[in-house]
Amino acid sequence: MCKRFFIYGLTTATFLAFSAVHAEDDVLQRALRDELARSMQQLQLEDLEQPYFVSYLVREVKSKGSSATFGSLLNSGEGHSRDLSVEVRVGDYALDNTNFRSFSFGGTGVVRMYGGSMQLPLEDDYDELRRKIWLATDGAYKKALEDIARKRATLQNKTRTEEIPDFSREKPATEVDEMTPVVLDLDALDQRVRQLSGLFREMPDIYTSRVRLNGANTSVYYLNSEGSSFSRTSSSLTFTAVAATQAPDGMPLEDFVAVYARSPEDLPSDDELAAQIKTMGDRLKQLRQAPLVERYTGPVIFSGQAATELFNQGFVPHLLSTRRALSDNPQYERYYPQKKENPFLDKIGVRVLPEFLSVRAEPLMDAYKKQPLLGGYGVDDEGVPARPVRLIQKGVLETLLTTRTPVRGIDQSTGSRRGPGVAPSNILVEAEKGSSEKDIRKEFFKLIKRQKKQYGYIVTHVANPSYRVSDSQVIFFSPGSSDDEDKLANAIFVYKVYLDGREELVRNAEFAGIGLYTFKDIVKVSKTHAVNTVPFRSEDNSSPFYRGRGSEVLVSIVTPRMVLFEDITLKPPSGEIPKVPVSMHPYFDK
Amino acid sequence: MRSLSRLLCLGLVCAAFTATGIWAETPSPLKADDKVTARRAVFEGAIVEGSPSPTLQAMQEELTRSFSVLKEQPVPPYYLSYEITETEGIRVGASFGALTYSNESRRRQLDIDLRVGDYTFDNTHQVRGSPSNFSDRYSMIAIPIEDDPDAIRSVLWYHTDKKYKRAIEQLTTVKTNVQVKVEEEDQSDDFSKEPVEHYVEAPASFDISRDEWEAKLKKYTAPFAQSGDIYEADATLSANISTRQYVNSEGSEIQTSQVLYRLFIYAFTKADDGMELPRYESFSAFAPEGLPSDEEVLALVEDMIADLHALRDAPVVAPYTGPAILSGRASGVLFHEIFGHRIEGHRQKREDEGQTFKKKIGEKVLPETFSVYFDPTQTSSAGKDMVGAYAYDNQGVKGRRVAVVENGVFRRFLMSRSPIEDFPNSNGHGRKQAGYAPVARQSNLIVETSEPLARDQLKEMLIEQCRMEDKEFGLYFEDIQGGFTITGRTIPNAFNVLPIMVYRIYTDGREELVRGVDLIGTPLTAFSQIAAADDQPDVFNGICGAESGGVPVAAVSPGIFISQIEVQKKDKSQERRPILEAPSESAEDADDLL
Repeated sequence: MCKRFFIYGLTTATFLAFSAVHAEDDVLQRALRDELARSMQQLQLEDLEQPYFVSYLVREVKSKGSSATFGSLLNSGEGHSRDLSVEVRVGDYALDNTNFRSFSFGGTGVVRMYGGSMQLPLEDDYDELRRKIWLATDGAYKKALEDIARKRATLQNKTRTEEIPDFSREKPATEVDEMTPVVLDLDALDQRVRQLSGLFREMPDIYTSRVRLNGANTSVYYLNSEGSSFSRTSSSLTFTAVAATQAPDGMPLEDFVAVYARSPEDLPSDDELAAQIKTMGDRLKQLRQAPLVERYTGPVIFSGQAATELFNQGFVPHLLSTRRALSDNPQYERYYPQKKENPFLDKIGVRVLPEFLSVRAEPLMDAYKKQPLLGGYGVDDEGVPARPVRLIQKGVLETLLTTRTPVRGIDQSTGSRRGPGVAPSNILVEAEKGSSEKDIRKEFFKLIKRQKKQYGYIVTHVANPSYRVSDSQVIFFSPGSSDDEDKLANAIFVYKVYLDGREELVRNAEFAGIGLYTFKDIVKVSKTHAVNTVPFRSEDNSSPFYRGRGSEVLVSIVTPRMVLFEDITLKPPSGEIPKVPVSMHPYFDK
Repeated sequence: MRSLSRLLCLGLVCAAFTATGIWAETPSPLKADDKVTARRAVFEGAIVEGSPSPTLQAMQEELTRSFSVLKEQPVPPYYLSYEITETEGIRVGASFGALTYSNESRRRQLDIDLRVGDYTFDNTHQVRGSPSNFSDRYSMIAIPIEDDPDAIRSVLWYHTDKKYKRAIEQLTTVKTNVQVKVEEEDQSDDFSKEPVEHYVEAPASFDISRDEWEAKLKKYTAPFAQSGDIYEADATLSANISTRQYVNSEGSEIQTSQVLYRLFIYAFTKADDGMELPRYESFSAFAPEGLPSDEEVLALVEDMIADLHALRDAPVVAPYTGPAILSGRASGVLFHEIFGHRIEGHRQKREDEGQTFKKKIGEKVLPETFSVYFDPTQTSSAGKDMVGAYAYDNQGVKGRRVAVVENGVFRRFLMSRSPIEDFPNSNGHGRKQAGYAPVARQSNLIVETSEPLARDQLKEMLIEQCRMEDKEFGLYFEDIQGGFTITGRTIPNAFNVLPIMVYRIYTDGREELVRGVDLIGTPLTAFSQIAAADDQPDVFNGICGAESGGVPVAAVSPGIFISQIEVQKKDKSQERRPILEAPSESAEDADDLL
């Protein structure tokens, strides 16, 4: 072994440096290293070009999880997977095979791969790992050759309006970013979800519900031909409870509880989780009796979870750089649309928020004013060390979060590749001079009066599409739509607040017309803050058939606890409304 | 893995074009008797073995309650059934001597059939002129895996209500459709009346060790690693207990429980021209003793490796028509495709179906020496278990032997509870995969001959035919991976059988392995060319995919002689072989360099 290693070390200097850092007895790492060295030296199809860059990323996930409904298990099990993603680039940093959507059907290479990834054996069998890595690299290289040929052909007939390099140059780095894995007992998980889902036996207003508790230990190992490598382990626990019912007029009402933690110790106790479930049950019960929202445009306060969700869904996606890929087939582009170009690309140096707000990404923070942040990591999925990024300073956009795929005006990675594309980490929206919550309410009433209205609205809870009661959903193969990006999920909990201070709950409020520029007109924010953790899936814009295939990462968002707008539109849902159930829930029909 | 993805693909095609197929379970020759695992005597008659589980009782109670409440509605249901399918199993996979996965799972899925209208005309009536709504044919409803009556009933209630509302919508649609469109050719009822059944089988249990199978599969796949030109080599073991609990508003109450063990080995290589050359071996049994021993499997693996290497060097056959012999398994698949799918009852009613055999009742369709049966009560044949066996179908109807061709004369169709002209009742073939709506499907297809010839006699007949037609050679199809067919009207009604091991038989008796062709044809023409059968019946166990999902089926047939078949070029990969040598070999090279 030493001998072979020595040869590679001599021929590619970077590997020698790299080898010093890593334990040689790690079979997987050795197999990757050996095949990488061989590929960089020898992989060439006839007289076509050799790869200028190869990287491997192996993601191993060990998970356990249970779900239950009405006190009884629906599902309980363990998972173990180990997947290899290969990136092979031909050409050079300025122009290579990537950022190109090739609509070629069928596989490339000898064996089948899905979205450039391949299942690896679970065992550290050197020979078999090498065999799989070899075949995956071969397939990726052949696809790279085809893509660059098609890309060059496409460019022959086009004048490029801007020359943006395809791949950024980054300093090689070696990182170790490790957490202690969590130990989970499946029987204990089963017992917890059984018990917590049993709470719905005391809630006759709820028609259907589900409680889920999952834990996963993920370890990632990465290696590239520039000499970068990292190993990263992380763990997470996810608790969700979803419930649905209908108002007396049939309108569907749904609510959720979602809690994330790094370890079982950090997860709230069963009593606390039970309290959260009961609160949700109460909310739904109150909503059933509440009147339907009326169409309204005027002052609205987003408070607590609603403030964080508003930023999460309406604003944060625009802090991510997306690059439009070149395509060789405009016809297919219609059916498999790419994500729209981020309008913020043209707003760098321009004010996009009120002057009193600033936004930064803080992947290295693990708490904000003692509240845990779960979106952090030490190194991103391209081996770029994570670092704090100032995104918006006093309302002015400074930069966007990027990967090693440069976009107009941003050449360097911010270390934000998580999964197949760019993703946020911990996002902090901070006010230079926040008001007291009392002042916010005062200002709110002032605005209501100025608009000659009798009341305004306070939104305290907003839905998130990740948590749905959809137990009979059929998943069809559907390409991503490019029009759904600005849409904000509906509000769950909204109060109508009269000038005399009286509050009245309304139900089924939806938002209309909340766009990117709505945020520029925020009137006031509170100096108190709210923290929320949400799941996020990144996308690879240049892979038309696998869009949105990334695994879930966590993003923590900190915003002022109260955010006041001068005019937001709320409206009741449109379309058909289902009827209420014909018979009563059997458990409560006694 | 590959076969699974292809099956799914096929499923999608089915929805659109009414194509159907059988896929990739190729059992291989086994010695008789000791391999047959006698299934419990449950098929013998309605022996009540167990008592209704709490889940079955909960289903019964909620069915009674929901049905009586809904009965008070302006549009009341006339029929309601619940089926809960529990699948508990293990799956272990290895590739080239290394473990790729090993897991166990348990899940329960709920199916609800709720009908409004009446037996003669209901919400499930065919809507002509518009594609059927896929979500009416498929739904995935998870229901608790524990026997907790309250939790089970809460899920039953919630989904019964949804199903009821959808049924009312459907009824309005079909009523209008009948008025707007031309009169239907087949005026049969929408649902048949069937006897009430009470049958409760005790839940089956497992006897299998995951550790042991992990070690076995690693051992089975390790030899493939010695060849750098075999690119995938996987072995999979799955063992599943499938327990079905069923109640309907007519008063039937059924619980069946079946264990199935499957061992599957797959490897492929590539020829210089890019053609992928696979070999499959598969074994299905109702008990672990029905699976082959390590020695037998390892010997087969050696054969597979030898075959793969032989296939790489085998010449490619050009498109050809001429005489052929099909082995028992190949002929079983041929019958399944060209005949079995075309006699599924509901296809005689749908006005977008080819209805090849609809008007052929009482006519001679095969030589007098041939008879064809479907028999879900037969659990083994030719020394092998047959996976298309069941006691009751998915509509609560008892499985039974159905003689479809007697002495060459076509007699009847395979029937679900969807009646067709002249066939008002089910014969226990309403089948589905959990989540799908049932239609008439095949069970165990059995082809018999009253005049079995020796294999050599078939070969002589083939050579004789070649001489008559002045052909240099005929073809022998020894092993196949599966096949598919299209039964609709818009696309030509062809079938395709996908062979793996094909030989040219020259007029001097010489046999030569060849590659690169699929067996194709149209049903009536192919059927009319079947001339003789041999004395070596063999079983093909497989998963058949069609509009009601994947169901286990078997086909047993003697080898047959067909006076004329046609082959077309096989779909071929355009991918060249890997650029670099397999790493183990090059590692040796590297050492040599020192």
